[in-house]
Amino acid sequence: MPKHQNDRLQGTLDMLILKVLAGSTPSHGYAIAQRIHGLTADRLRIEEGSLYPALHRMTNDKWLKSEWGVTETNRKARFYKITPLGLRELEEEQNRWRELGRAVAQVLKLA
Amino acid sequence: MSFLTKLWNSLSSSKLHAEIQQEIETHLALLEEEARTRGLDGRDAQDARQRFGNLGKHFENIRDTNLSTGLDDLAHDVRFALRQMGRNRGFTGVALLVIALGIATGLPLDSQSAIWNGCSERIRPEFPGSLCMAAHQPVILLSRHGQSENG
Repeated sequence: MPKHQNDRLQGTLDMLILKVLAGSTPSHGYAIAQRIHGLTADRLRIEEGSLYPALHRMTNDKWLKSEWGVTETNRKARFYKITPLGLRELEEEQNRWRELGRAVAQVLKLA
Repeated sequence: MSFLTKLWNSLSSSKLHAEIQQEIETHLALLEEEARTRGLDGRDAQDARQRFGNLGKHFENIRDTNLSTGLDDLAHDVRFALRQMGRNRGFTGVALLVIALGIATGLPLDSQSAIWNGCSERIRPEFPGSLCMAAHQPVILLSRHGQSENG
């Protein structure tokens, strides 16, 4: 299946999730969303309706690995962690994103 | 995700559905917990519950999309293969010939097919030198008869 590199928004959500997981212990969906909200001072809100499909898709693509566990408050949750393949994808997506940012900035400077 | 995985996911949807349900339930519970500890009225959790709506349905849509994408991919691959075959006529011809010969020699080895019996009983006596094999004795008669005629 082709990767979603053309779908910029989806690619961005994937990248944010991968980035959060790359720097943390295995986390459940809620914790991932909270982390992104916290890091961006709530400027970026992750919709649950996009978060979980993204997590499942990336698990299917073997970018993530998931395992059932319990939260601090003893609730059953699925914990996700990043795989080596996911780390490579994160690297690529970051590069694509920087490239895009530079290109857009150049256009904005000209206009 | 391979096509088979998608197919399997679509067939084992009830397990998938239950797992997703569990995940969403936990998410909502955590939202509510947080709202309580912060002394909020839990509107966040209610909002989320609404946003989730029928997320199970949402997942089914994703799964169906994946499946149909798989079918599209398959159709695309077949069309591509046919175009390539049309472009390389020589290669296609040789490949088809090899496949045809393979099937022709393999068929009588494991089947007492009507076609074959017809061949051995009707064609063989009339055309002793024809490329013909007996179902119970997979030997190419061409060479045997050819030798005996030569010798």
